Amino acid sequence: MSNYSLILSEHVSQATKIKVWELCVDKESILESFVKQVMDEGTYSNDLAGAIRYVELAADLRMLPKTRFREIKDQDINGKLFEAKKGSIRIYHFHETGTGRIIVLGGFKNNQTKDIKAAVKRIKDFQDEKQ
Amino acid sequence: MKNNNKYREKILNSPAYWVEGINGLLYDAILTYMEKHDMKRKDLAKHLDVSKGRISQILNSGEINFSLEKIIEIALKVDKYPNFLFEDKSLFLEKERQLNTMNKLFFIYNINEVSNQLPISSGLDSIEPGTIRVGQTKVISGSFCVTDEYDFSI
Repeated sequence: MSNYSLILSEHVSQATKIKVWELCVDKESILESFVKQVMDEGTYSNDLAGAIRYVELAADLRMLPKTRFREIKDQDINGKLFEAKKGSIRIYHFHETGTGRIIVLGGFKNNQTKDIKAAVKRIKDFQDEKQ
Repeated sequence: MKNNNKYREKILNSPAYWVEGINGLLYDAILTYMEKHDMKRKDLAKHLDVSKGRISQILNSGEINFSLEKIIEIALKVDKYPNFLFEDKSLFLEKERQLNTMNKLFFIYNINEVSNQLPISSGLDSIEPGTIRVGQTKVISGSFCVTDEYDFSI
């Protein structure tokens, strides 16, 4: 039985040219708890909204400044890992051919290194499970 | 995914969502115009009637921070009409809900279409709308012409 699944993101507009998904573990979106935590607490809700807007713009094939959206290179995954950012918030997602953009997790600026490692591990596990 | 509409609504109620939308779209319009007309930064500064320092600020960090009047002026100078809409919140949310439902139905349809190609043990009947199990991604994604069409490299 697979642990990983994908769900069309309801945090992001579904009108984008490239579809945006969320990675789920045991049917629970990893991003969802982060969104809930940030939006309920409130301090960084504006940053999260801005970062989500950048995920949408990128999925709509818009060119964006590197300070807002960048590829995290040299990661040992099949596909490209991206980071959308606004203020203290980071959203990590990757592009999978034939599926679209898959949001792996969200995190804070001060936990960037650990979050990138965690995102890469999730992506690898997800890709291994598919094979 | 029970309360996502509530959180989507909170996201849409954040000013940054809309500010970054305008920033991002204007940034994209400026870069597209520069590429189309093979312009350098100094040419762009002259064309937009802003300082070279301001152009660097826009292109390096995406910081637009202009007055509404200047944003409109820049948009027109890069061949775009800044067509702002002020939509009723409830209608906007309803349109998003309808689009989400349509996407989910489309997705379920594709799952049904390929279901007899999948092993019985795949547990398709337990899949929630809009959910793909990992082992089935390849089969199902074959129906997503739109994502394939827009597949690209940055």
